[in-house]
Amino acid sequence: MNVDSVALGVFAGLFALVTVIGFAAVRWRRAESLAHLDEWGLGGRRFGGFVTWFLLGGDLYTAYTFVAVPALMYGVGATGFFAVPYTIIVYPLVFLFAPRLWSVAHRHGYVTPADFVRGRFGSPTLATAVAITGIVATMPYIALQLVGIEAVLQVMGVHGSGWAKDLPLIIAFAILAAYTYTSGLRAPALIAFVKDTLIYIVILVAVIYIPIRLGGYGHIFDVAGQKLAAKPKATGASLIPGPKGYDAYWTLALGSAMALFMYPHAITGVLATKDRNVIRRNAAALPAYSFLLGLIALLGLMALAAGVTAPKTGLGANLAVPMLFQQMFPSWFAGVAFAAVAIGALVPAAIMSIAAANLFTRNIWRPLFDRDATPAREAQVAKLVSLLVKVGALLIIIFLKVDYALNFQLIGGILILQTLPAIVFGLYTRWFHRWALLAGLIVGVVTGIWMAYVTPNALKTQMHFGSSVYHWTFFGWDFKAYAALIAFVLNVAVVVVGTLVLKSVRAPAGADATVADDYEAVAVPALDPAPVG
Amino acid sequence: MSSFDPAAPVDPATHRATRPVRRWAYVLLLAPFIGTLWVSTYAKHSPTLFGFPFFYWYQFAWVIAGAGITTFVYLITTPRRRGGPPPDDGDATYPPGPYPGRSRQTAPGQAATERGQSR
Repeated sequence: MNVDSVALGVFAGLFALVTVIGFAAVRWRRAESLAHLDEWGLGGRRFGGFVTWFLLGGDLYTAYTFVAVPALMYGVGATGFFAVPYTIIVYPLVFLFAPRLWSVAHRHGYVTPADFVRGRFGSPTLATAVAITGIVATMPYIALQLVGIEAVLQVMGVHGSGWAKDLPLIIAFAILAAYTYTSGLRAPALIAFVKDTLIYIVILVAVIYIPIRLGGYGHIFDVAGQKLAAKPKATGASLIPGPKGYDAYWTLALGSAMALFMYPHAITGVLATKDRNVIRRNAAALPAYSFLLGLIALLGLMALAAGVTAPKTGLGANLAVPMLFQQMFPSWFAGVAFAAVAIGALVPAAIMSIAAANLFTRNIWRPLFDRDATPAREAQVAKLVSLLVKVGALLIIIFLKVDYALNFQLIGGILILQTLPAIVFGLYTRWFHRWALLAGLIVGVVTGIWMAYVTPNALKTQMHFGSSVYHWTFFGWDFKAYAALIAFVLNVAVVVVGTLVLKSVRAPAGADATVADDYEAVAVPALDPAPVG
Repeated sequence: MSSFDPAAPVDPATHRATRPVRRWAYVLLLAPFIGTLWVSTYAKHSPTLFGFPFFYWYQFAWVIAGAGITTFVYLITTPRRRGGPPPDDGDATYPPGPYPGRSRQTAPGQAATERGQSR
């Protein structure tokens, strides 16, 4: 593969543009000082509906989504389309619980979900467990954003050997780390405008132009259907899911929807808004991205119809869409499309590292090492940790195989869903006992990882962590379901039984720092700069 | 959810949300779950629309329907605040809240003490 210099030039130009924006973001809605987590880590807690739509859209629909969802469609067909019901039902859930989280966080100055758990249940241990789970689930997710960048670089013909191979990735991440460090959440919020605009343009062009060249949607579905039917039966590939695939489909959609807003980076986006109604309105407006995601998923079928042959090893099917773009578009527009994917990786990577840094600072470092930390010191620690998190993600990608990174992501979804009882149930009731919640979290995490560990992939070429769908036979009842959701059910069972037992023996319940009214608060503060500690 | 007294009058001077009205409307939010998670009802090829098999266009239709339902529920459950602009109207300022100790203007030391108490 030769280097496509036109595409690379356009790509580099757009990348340079967002770099400038990233550094300039520090001046946007300028705060007197960034030396406070509310400023560095939450952008001043004053994003309105418009900014939030771009920020959350840029945050939740990651480069990995744009590459992996069509890759799944390309590989197994209909199952990959679960991303659409997933992103449909996530918003009614957000509409219900996120405003309550916003209100209580606003009243009490909570920066992370673990801050809330600590205040609600009076349990630093439970809070730290939630924080650790969040960080462990987020790290590989950041690493996976690099897979998106790597995929487009590879298709553009940028590859070397040894250290030179990883150099472009290292440069991209170093730049990202630098402007996240200086500008905090303002950087990805501003870059999200560029990212989302580029993505919308590229996808709208792609879903109109490519079908014209390929002979229309009817033809694409026909050819893709034939190619999927010709794949090995064990993969379960088909254009329409068969009865055996129904349970996997709906459990993947439901489990993923419940997990999404437990991720620290999603909650960071929620808490950065200036009013609870901003979130409620966004729950109605964000499905525009879901529609886009459905169109992106179809690119996988287009790649099949266009006869794209993705390699079997390395990034594999993840290259299908970049290869489709290269085959179909003129060089300059392919450059725009590749830049859209790569910039699409930067926004969530930045927010995830900020969210992980907030968690570490507030819920691990502060309670364990520095109880009297001033806000300025907290912000400083968080900034440094955001650098470490990115270095860690880079190391995961460079030293572990991509396949392993994918496995970590699989586990990430399983882990993060287990924090739901403490966070979401906690928003509605204080009935659950903190120790029961902790026990449930541990049981969910352990059983979830175990289920992923014993599951081979469809063709049995990989015996462990082969799929997130666990095959369960239980007294003749055959069930294939998303492991995260099965683990969640066990988690909730433990929480309920544990609470009943602990209440009957009158175990100390811990102090609740919140009152009922906190969950409905709409207070918008006078927008003064945060105090400098 | 309804842990505060429903009969209590809403004080417009406080920062509490005017109590959401017409809560029955939240039930509508269940519709997208039933529509999209009941896979056997739509996992079929025909009827096609613009070349899209039913399985695909049905779910695209639910994206729009889901957004529409959420918008509707938002509109009828969000009370208009009396005597003020809607909540997101630019940089509208609000009267200082009744919770001075917990607002963001809290002095850092005070905030630390408060967190200390919540342990």
